Amino acid sequence: MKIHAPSRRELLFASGTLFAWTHLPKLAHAEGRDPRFLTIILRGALDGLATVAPIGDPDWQGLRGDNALSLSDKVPALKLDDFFALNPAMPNLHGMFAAKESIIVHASATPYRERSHFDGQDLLESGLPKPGASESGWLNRALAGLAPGGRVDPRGGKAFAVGPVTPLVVRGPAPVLSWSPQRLMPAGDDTVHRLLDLYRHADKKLADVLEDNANLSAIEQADGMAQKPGAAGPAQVRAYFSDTAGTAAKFLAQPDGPRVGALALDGWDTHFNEGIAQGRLSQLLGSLDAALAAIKSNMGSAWRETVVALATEFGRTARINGTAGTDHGTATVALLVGGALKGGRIIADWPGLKAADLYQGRDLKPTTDLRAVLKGVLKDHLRADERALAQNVFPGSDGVKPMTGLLA
Amino acid sequence: MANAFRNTDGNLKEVAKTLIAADESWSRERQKLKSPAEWIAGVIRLTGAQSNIPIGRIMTAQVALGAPLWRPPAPNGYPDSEAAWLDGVPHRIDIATEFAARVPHAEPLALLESGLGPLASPETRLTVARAESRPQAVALLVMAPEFLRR
Repeated sequence: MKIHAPSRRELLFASGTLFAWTHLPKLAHAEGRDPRFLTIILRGALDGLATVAPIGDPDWQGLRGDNALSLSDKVPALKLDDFFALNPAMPNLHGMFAAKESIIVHASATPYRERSHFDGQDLLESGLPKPGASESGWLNRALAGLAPGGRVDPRGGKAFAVGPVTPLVVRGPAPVLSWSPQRLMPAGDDTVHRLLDLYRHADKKLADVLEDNANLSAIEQADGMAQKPGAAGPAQVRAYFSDTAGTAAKFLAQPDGPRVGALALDGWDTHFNEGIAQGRLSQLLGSLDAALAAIKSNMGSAWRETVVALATEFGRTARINGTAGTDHGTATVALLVGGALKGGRIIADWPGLKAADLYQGRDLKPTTDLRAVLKGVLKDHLRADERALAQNVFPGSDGVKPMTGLLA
Repeated sequence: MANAFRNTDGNLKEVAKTLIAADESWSRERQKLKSPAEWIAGVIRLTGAQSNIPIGRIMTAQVALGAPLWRPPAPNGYPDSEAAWLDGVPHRIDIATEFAARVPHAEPLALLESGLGPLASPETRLTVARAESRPQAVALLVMAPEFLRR
């Protein structure tokens, strides 16, 4: 979709008045800023320990053995500080961190302590303190609560959602501008694998057909022939992530476009063959890394006014399971990137990795409430009112103080 | 049924009664596969996603599954045997994924109850419940054997 940004000259001609900015939000604009905020929901429960590894923890190598990222790997992890290193699939994020354009929060989680993807995602996006149905998400309610000032462009006053269906986080009373890529992501290996599992237990004929198809397309793929049906390859995932995120940035970068947006990226539920240094998760993180680069590039000069928050419903088990993967866990990473951040730091009250330190003896223990991070961004970047944050945006979160010092 | 036809001199009502009274008519086993049109219509009806799926995508899906809408190769229409459609099942996965991604506010377990109810096996229930996202859950539901078959 081609977006035509009117030149100053064209606007002057057309309206006969001075340049019409989108004054949203009012308080930020009064300070001479024009902040952009993009939320990316990572669906499936991202393995925080495999994304940002606690290499400085004495129990790290013992915990994950061959699956523990380290600085002395053949493809070494990317050092962040003396305690943490980044998965080597994310050089762009590493660069942003070095340029003080990223903050990493570790050992954090929402209040959710069960293990259902649906409920966990609902809670992550609704902003409610307990699982339950919600018609709206915290980002939309935050936007609805901001005071618009001055002349509001109809698009600027809207939240922006990417995808065929509006993610819950950005649904609600504030109007939503939607965009969807023409070609949606085809099914991934994970979906095919789950079906194969089901068919093997329940319908042998279907299992045989699916297996034959997989074998045939392995030959086709080796031959460089057409992409097999029923499995999105790494290249397609990468293209989809970059297209989606890059286009969101294009919209947010427009002088008279929306200021706040959200999108979701799936695929993080790595129960088997997780592929941390090489393989499935590595490819996904690589795609995410490329998407972050696309955002920075497409934001252009608006990058210095930008914050992107990436969050997932919960983390994964500290130990690797019997199928070279991890199961549903609790604490994980949250990522912030953007030129508006006071970046180059990791925020973590590290709980430790000894058996006694793990939540229920199996997961990384959460020591930071994710809502504190989100509130901190909403308050300092968009100038959301603190009381509104506690009562309306994140109901029941009076005890959760907005994190300070995130913004430059 | 053939006997009933012969013995009653072609009384169709008697043939029909024989059909209904036969044990085979009431066997639980669903051995046929839904044809592409039946399956696609079922997916759209179950998910209520009519307004979200452009008609062009539906037509494309029909073609991809080897059954362009209303254009069978011969006057006797499309076949309804399992053998005719079995090979195309893997192709249904991408279509299921795309259509499922277009379903607003999907409640996969509620859809499972309304779409399959007691027909759903415990394995299918578990598969749907453990999906990593709602869109994946809906895709898995409409690719479940019980939903593919009739």
